[in-house]
Amino acid sequence: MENTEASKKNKKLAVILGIVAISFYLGFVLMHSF
Amino acid sequence: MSTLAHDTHHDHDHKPTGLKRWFFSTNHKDIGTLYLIFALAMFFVGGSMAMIIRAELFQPGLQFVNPQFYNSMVTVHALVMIFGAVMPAGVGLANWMIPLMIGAPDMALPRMNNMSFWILPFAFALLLSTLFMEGGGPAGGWTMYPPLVLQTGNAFPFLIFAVHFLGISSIMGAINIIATVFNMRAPGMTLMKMPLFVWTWVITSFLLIASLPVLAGGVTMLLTDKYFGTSFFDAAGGGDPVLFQHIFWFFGHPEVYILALPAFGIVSQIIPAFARKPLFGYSSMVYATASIAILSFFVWAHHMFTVGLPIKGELFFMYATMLIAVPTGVKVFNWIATMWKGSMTFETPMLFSIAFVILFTIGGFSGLMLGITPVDFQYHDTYFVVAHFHYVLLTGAVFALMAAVYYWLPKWTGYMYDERLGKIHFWLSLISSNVLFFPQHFLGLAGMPRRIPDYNIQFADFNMISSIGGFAYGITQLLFVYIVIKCALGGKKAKALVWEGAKGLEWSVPSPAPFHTFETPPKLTKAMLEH
Repeated sequence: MENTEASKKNKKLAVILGIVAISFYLGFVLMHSF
Repeated sequence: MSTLAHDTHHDHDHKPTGLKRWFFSTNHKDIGTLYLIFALAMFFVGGSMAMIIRAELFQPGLQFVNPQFYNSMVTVHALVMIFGAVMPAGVGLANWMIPLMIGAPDMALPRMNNMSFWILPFAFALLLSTLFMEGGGPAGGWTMYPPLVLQTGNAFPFLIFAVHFLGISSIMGAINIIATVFNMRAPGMTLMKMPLFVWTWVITSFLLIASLPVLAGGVTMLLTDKYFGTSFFDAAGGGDPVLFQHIFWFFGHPEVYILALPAFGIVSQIIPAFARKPLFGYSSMVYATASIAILSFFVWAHHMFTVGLPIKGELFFMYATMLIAVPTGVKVFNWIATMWKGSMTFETPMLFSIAFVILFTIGGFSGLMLGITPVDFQYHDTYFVVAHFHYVLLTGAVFALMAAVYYWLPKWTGYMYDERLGKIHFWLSLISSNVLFFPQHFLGLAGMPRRIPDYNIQFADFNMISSIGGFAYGITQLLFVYIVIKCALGGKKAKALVWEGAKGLEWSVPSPAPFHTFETPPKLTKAMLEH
């Protein structure tokens, strides 16, 4: 896919949602680690 | 409805050929097809395991398999059906239909879409390979409760990595759906004009992103408990085995709605089409779906009433569980109100949808019974639970998926399926699934525990009836495969608008849907946005 404004917007949203998912994961493991 | 002008000059609809088309595909329709074929294959793999289970339970005593292998079958059947059949089938439908329904040219992140799919066969290769290992496959139940699951042999790390991969695949799929719906709708397709199927998938995607990392966290902790000396779930080291149950069901209950919400969306598309009436209470359907999703995060401990929770906690989870019946009831009433005084016809998709409404409601009611704390002490871990969740997941989710396949198959293949065979498939599935699962309510009430290969003689008759239903249901699904293959190979040509009462953008493109659609955003008319 070309690197258009639209695809940049899609990637930005995907990165944000990915960070949310990874923080849930790490948060859950770390929360129970201490 | 006439086909859109821009699609009529798609005779140069070039697409890659050979294996490359499928391995490197970034096309939402091809990836949707891959998901659906994979789900069907897994439906038969998980189904074969169910046949082994029902053959063993046909009579009391041990007939065919040893208890260890039986427990593996129970465990892997569940994992395969949930993560390999129902979820991928839903994602396949989402891939195929969401861009078509909102006027987008493809999914927002096509290469990630390809990766989401191709992780699945590798994850299942990991999981299913354990059945051939020394020590056998995982046998501690799909819930993977410690300390039992920590006794699994070589299969254990394979199970854990497979679950991680399945989670990663689903999260990537969910991110893709959210990005597609939020960023790629055609001008004029506002959120509250989207078809309900799209709405249910957006909400399901948020459920996936919020719940799957929790499962991944839980199974990572299992892995470190077994191999790296941690004691998350080991009381001897200061941990708590019940903690895993909390973590698992914090994922597990939303997971139930991850399986059910897309089914609600499918039925909300099909019933208005065959009742020839707009969906009753569209906005209340959207809010009810969102309410169910939010509430699903506050009811997890109703799966754990017997572990010894404080009484106030048990009461909280009981009332919260009862509360979910309210938005679910709204949905059921809306489907019935949509049919009320409609000009109904009963083609196969409609038959499966009506059966879904009735049978899912039966499964919902038995769920309410299980949600009553004092009563659950009697039902817990009995066949009543098995009957309950199979009503929700088989005569619920799977029936809706079957309805969806019959509804959209002409759009995918360009040919009409054999309606007479479709109806035979429906009636045989309906009768056999009820013969299979209804007696299990009685077995559970009489006290037969789940996950056992042998049982007391008093349970023999109902088990025999249930097994006969199981075999009949299994054989009937071969007819489904025949109908789908026959339709893919040819038959009566399908029009763009396959069903006269159907509304929505997907019916504005020719059948079969061209390889590329909506490369320029469609101009939406009022008729296209009607629900």
